Amino acid sequence: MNNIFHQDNFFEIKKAFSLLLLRKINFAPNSVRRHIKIGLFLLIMFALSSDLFFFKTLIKFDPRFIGSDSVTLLEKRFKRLKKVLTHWGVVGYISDGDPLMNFDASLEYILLQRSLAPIILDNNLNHPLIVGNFHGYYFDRNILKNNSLILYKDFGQGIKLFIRKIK
Amino acid sequence: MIFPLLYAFFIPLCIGYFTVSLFWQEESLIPQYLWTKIFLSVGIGFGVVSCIFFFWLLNFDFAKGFGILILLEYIVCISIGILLLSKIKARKCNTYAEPSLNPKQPQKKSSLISAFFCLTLILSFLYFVSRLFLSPHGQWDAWASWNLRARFIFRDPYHWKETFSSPILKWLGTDHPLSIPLTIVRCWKYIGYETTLIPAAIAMLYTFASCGLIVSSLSILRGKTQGLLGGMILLSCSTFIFLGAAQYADVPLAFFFLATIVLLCFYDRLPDKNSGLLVLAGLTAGFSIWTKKEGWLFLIVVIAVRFIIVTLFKGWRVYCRELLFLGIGFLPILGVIFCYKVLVPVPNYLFGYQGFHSIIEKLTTPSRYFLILKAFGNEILDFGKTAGIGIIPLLISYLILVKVKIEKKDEFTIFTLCSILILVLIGYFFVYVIDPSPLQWDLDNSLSRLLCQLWPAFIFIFFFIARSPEDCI
Repeated sequence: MNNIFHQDNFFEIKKAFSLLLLRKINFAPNSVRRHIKIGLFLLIMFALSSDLFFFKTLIKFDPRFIGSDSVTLLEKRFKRLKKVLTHWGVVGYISDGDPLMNFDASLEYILLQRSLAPIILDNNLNHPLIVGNFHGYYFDRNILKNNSLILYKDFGQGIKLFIRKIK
Repeated sequence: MIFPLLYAFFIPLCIGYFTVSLFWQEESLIPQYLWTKIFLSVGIGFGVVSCIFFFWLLNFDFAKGFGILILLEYIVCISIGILLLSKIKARKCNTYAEPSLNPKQPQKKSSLISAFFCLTLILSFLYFVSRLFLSPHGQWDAWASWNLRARFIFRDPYHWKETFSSPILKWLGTDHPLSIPLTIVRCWKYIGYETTLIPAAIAMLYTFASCGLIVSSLSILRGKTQGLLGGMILLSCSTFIFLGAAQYADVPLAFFFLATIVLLCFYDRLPDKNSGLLVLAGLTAGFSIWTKKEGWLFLIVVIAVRFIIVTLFKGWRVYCRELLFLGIGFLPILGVIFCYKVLVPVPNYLFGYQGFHSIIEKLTTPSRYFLILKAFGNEILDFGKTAGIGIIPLLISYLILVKVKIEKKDEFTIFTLCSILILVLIGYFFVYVIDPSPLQWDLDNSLSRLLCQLWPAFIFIFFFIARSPEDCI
């Protein structure tokens, strides 16, 4: 029993433990490396999935659609009106859709405002000049009568300019 | 058209680069931080020229005074250039590069990462261009606010103040400042007509300069691989690229948030404690307010966080010195914003259209908190989702795998930067709580954009904290 605790034995055991410990320490970087490889793999896979998404979108890209976005098309529709209204001021607005209630109607209202800038487009009829934006083939003439409006010019595609009768 | 166009973009880049180099001087003649400075100069240059243009617009005739605008820009550019040259000459220069902040050399793994980064860069760029072709006017906020305000100024530069103050156009977002609209108008003025090419080019520069800034700064601070990974993940986020191509101001704002974070990081990290970096950080934080009103929250958070942390760790004298240099950067920009607010006195969207009682009522309604928490949770989980998994859960998994590596010298910086990011996020949360618009509608329409504003800064901090693959090879 005494021999086990002999100083030489003690050093031997310590050396063995140190070797074991070193081995363990040597294992650690390998596991870290493995984890880093997995981590990098995940990031690269994510990047590749995004690349695939970009690539699919690019394949679907059709040059014929250039210039046919809703903003460009509506700007073309309002172009003739813009040539008439040039000076800064406020004009009224009337439409068959309510910009405050309907998304498409609000989109058209803002796009018309965009086309007419710097003229301010006010969504009411308390102005001498009123811009009308209507859809469909049939135009209800009662709108003119009910709101005391006189048609000044029809620009086609549902775009009209009215003058308000002052009572 | 091509020469005025190039000139319109060249002058801001020169002014930006000279400004950055003036305040961020290096001992060596070989600039070690060249790319970081170049990418920073994009936002700073556009910010400076938009302020010059604002001054010109208020004081000179739009139709006849174009020569004065060019002269003003020349004067600013040459003055900063001369100041820079005199400082360089006065300095005892050496031709040796300074020791790197991160002496590790690029490893073989970085060539693989470089390849994936290049692939993502090319594809995201092509995706960006294809989006621009399909929607040349950008998406809703771009054509209904930023580009429309530019159009109002360009088409009638004599009545824009009355137009912006009009209650009829309160949906136009005139309580947002003018950095982006004025940058667009300035370029239109240079080429002489309105074109969708200008807002598109500005959006492209801000989007890809954010990526460049992440790659260049992380490469210096944490190694090339870490920089490339940061850039790759930023570009992999389709939401960010989409918003950039949509010409939203959230991307330029994100650039300024990132620039401030990067500059603060360099200030804390560089041994010489260059106060010029604080001036630049103040300048970029100021430009974030000049870009979008969310910048106010960011600036307040930066000042508050630096106050708490610097006072605790280094004492209030150090903080006062820091605040002084930050103030040198942001105070002139606040002056410009104050001037705009005086000229266009529109009520603030958040506080101007609701009373104090309404705000208190919203703050004491628990259902609003639950709704916002749920929306934040969902958005964070789904953010940048392309292949069934959101980018943030993926990054958390990555961090668990590679673990964090925070050196003693970086503890202060990381604590500061994380606090800024978290407090801005909390600030956004409370903005929703007191939001006067229908809450669900606003969450659906704006939350992803708000997260995008913080996205580049988050990526930078994330890869600054995460262990780099180079550390283990």
